[in-house]
Amino acid sequence: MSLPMLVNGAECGPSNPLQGLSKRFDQDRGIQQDQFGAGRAGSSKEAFRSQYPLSPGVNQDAARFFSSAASPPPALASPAAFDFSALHRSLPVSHTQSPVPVQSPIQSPPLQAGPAAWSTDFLLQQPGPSASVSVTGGAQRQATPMTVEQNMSPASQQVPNTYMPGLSWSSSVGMSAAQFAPMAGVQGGFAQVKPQIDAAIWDQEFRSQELSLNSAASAPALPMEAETVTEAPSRAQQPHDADELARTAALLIDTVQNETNPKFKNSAFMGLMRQLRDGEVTVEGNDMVQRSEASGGVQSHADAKGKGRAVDVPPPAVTRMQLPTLQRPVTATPAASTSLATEQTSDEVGEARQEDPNDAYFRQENEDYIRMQKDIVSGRATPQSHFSSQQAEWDNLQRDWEAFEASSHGLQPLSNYQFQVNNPYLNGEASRTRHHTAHAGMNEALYESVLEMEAAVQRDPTNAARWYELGVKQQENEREQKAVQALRRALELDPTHLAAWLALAISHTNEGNRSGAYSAIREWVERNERYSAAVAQFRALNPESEDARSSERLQNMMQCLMSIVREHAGGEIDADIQIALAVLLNTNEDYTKARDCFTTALAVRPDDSLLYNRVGATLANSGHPEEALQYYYTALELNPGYIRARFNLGISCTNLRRYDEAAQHILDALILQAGDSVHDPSGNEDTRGVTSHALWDSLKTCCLHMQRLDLATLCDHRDLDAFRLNFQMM
Amino acid sequence: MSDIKVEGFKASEILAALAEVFSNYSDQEKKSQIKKTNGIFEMRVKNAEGKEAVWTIDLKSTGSVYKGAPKSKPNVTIIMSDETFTQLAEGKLDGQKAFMSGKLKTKGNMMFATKLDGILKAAKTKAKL
Repeated sequence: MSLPMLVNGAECGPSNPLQGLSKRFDQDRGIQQDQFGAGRAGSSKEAFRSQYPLSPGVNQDAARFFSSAASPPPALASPAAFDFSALHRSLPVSHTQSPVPVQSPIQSPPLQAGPAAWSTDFLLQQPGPSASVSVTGGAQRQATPMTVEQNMSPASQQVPNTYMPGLSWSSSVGMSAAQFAPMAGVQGGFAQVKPQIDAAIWDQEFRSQELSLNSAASAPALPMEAETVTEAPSRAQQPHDADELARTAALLIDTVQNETNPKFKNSAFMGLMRQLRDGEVTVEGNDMVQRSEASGGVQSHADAKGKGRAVDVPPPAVTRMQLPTLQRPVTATPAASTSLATEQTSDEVGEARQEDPNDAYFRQENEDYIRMQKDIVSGRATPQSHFSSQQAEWDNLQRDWEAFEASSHGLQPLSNYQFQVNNPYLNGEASRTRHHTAHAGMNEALYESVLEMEAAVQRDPTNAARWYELGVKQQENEREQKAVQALRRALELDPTHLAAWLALAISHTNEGNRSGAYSAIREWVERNERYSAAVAQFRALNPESEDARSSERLQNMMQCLMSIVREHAGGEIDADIQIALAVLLNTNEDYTKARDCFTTALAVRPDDSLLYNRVGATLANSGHPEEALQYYYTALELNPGYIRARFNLGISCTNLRRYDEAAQHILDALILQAGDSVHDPSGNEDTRGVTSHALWDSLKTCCLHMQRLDLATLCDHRDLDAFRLNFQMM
Repeated sequence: MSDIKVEGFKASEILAALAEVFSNYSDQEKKSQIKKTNGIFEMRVKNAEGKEAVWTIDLKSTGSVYKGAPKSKPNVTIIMSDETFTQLAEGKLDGQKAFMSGKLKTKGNMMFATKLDGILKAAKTKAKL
């Protein structure tokens, strides 16, 4: 029953196993790896952490224990018992497994891994010839300080994790499918390792005793459990029973959690219930050889009670009496380790007392986790305790992600226009004159600067026309990305803004985004009322099939525009449709026709610097840079601050191998661009976001052609001031 | 970049610029360019003095430009004069016309030669509208 549940994850609780996993991974295990060599799964080594303070003698003991060469103690099954590296290596999922077993001791129901597996170990021992001997051997070893220490440290280390499933289960919160994924991985691991298990079963048995219950045993133990489940139904039943019992115990503990009476809280009964819930008592009860009947009784009882969801007091009590020694490892605190070792063989009362601090710790952790779980459920997870720093990290990531998505518009989440900070124009009209004096001597001061426009947009963020103006300005200033963002915003606000569609099409053409340019032009045509009749007529004559390829659509659209132009040939020339057609032709690299269209448009608008630049660019792209130059010059006469025209001029000069001239033009363009940056009062003016990479790259190419490596390196550093100085010294 | 240059060849500068462009490509751009082209071009360029220089544009595995014969078998070998190459690179001449008029000769898969246009265009910064 529990395996299916493990898959379905009914009891996993809302805690995300991934979080537990990340906790595992982020712990530093270098020390343990140093001690015991590589090749073992990281998480299973936690048990060794506490070994450091041990005396060398004890360390030697441990080494003897783990080395296959040393003669094993009589109780050991085989000399090769503890060579686990191969097994570990063959466990591909050992890492993913680690969080699962770590969580299990608490609640064990869904993840009986650790303790349940331990119980299986014992079960396997039972039929074996040396069963009783080995069990006693194990018990004796546990009584030594070393092992007690080993067992205890993980217990305390892992407490935080171990409580998670328990809580979530008891609060019966629904779970997400994501939580089951690790379980599935674990199961996959079972299947894979199964063949190797038989030889290693005994090793694991001892290992699970020697090392911590939680971490160390978990990885090897898991496959064992799987084997039992598949192999022998009767055996497989037992871990499930243990689950039932543990679950019931957990339920009880949770129900009485608010009980403040310390006497009750610290009572032997409660301690037992906790142990039950942690799965240790049941496990041992099943496995004690001499008390097989008693444990069997416990099992059946647990079965019945598990269904009834009631708590059965007497059987656990019996179990507890039977298994004093084996309960220790988890319940004892490191501080109490030595005394515990002696106590183990002596009195039960002492044990109950020993458990007190540990229980208190558990309880506290428990409450922390309840709080945390609530937070998670309510969707505002905040770090509550010291161990949830990882949790906080994940939460931060999640928050970032959500903010990212929430503030996104459309399909491009990052397409939000990033305004420059510290924009002095933001202060309103009052700041205008002051800033103008600050920019005195710059060409831009004659015109509206980008900063001014940004400020205008920020003051009136829902005005599409302002966004459009900003977009066009950014195009002029050779910042295509920002232009696209601003234009998109404008069109979001007002999809009927035709000029913005046209500008967007131009930006897309510059970016080499054919489909983007096409769809923008298409939008422009379809929304243009002036041509709606003509478009409808054309569509009727030339129906466009649905599955037409993009190039066909492009051709179709061009035909459409051309037919419209032809129809209106007699009357007034519309520059916009000429531009739209020219943009399409440009996308299609049909530059001669595109130039004709642009020049036609220019005939109507002889003062449009943008158009001059476009004609020039079309010429340059078709391999006529020298003809392009005059158009660029005209554009710059009309608009001296036209950065794009200046840059294009530089490109044409580069193509004409007039590198000095080209470098000068590009440098001018860069200086103009940098002029858009905010003068930071702190003095470290960062022009990197303001100047564009394309300009710097072109400038670098120029410098390389000029054999000026020193200048090229300055380009790499984007150091405008240094470049300007060096360039003028030339 | 300097190791690509050969004195007396205008083509060397163009190819050096092309190499620069390739080296500035991001992995993704490089991959898409390689995917688009998927060929190795051997360029045998003769200058006015009758000297010949060989470059290779590898857009099959590495996405690089280097001087000398290709390290693995080229898909196509393009033989032309320095002047023709320069015009090709500047876009004044298109590859097919050059081939038709005999200014450009190919060995191997001629279809790859038609892709050269696109590659040389990549080396040029496009003027923006």
